[in-house]
Amino acid sequence: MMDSVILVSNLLLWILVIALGLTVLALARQVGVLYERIAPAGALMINQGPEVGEVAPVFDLETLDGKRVTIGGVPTSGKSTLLFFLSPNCPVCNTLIPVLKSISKRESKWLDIILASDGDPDHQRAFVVRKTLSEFPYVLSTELGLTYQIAKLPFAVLLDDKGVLRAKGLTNNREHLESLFEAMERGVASIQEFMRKRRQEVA
Amino acid sequence: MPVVDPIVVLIAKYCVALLFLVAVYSKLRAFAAFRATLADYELLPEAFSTVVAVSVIALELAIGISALVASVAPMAMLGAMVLLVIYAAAIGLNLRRGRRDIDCGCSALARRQLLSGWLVLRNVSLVALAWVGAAIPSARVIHAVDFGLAALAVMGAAALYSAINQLMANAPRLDALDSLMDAR
Repeated sequence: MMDSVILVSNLLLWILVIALGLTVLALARQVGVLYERIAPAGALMINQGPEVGEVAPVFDLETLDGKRVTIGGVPTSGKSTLLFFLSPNCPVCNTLIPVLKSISKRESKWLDIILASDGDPDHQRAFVVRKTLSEFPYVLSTELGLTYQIAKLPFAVLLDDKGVLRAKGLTNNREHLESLFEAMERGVASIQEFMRKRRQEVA
Repeated sequence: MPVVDPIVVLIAKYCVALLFLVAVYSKLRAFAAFRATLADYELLPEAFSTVVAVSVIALELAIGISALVASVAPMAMLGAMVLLVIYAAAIGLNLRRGRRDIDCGCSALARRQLLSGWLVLRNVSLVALAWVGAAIPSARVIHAVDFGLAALAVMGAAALYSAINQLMANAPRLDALDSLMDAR
C-alpha cells in the first residue's frame, strides 16, 4: 500500500517537473522573441563623418584588380552608389554577402555596389576569391574608412546619382540594408529619424 | 570510476545519447549553416570544413547510438567527453581572440546563439554528465519501473537544458539593447 502511494506521488512529481521545465522553456523563448522584436528595425546611424544631405567627398581609388573607380561626385553612369564597408574577419559581413549579390542583381538599373575595406591586399584577394566577389569593385583605403568614421562593420553608405550622401548606417542584416533604400526614398536620413519625425507628427 | 546506482548511470547515458542524436539531426537539417559555422570558428583552413563537418556528424551519430548499447556505452561516454572538451576549447579559443559575435552553432532550438563564457561552463557540466554515464553501476537489479523513471528524468532534463540554452542565447540580445539605450 505504502509502496504504491510513493510510486504514484513520485510519478506525479516527475510529470510536474517536466511540465515546469517546458513552461520555463516557453517563457525563455518568448523573452528571446521579445528581445528580437524590440531591437531597432532599421540600420543604426552613427552620427559621425559626413552628414546625410551633404555632398560626399570625392575619392579616386584603384580597385583590387587594378581598375580606377571614383567614389563620390556625379557618376557618369547616372546611377546611385552603395558603398559597403566590410572585412574578411567580420562574420556578420559574411552573412550579408549573398544579400549584396541579390541586391546587386535586382537593383542593377539604378544602383552600383562598391565594396570597401582595408588591410593586407593578399588576404583581401583570397577573400574575394573565396566568396566570389569579383563582380564588385573592391577598394582598399584607410582614408575612405577614416573619412566616413567607420567604427563598426558592416557599414553601408548610400550616395545618390548627384553624389549626395542619402543614407548610412550599421547594417547587421538584410532589413537594415534595405532600410537605407527606404530612407532614401522617403527622404529621411535613417529609420531612427523617420520614427522621430513620425512621433513629432503624432504629438 | 565511482560506483553509483544503476538508474543514475542509465539517466546520464540516455541524456548524452539524446543530446548527440538531436545534435546530429539539427546539423543534418542545416548542413550548409553548420559548415559555415565551422568556418567562422577559424580554427582550420576553410578547405577542410566540409570534411570536418561530415566527420563531426559521423562521430556524433556513432556516440549517440552506441550510448544506447550497454556493452559499448562506456566507450561512447569517453568519446562524448573528448568531443565536448574539444568544443569547449574551440569556444574558449575564440573567446580569447575576442570573437564573441560568431554563432555558436550548438543549439537545436535557439536560432542564433553567440559565444560566451557560459557555453564553456555548459560543456564542462556536460562532460561531468558523460563521466557519470561511464561510472560502474552498483549491483542493484533494475526493474521495468527504473526505465520508466529514467525516461521521465530524461524528458525533464531535456526541457530544462533547452530552457537554459535559450536563456544563454537571450543574454547577448539584452546586452545589445542595453548598449543601444546607452548610446542614445
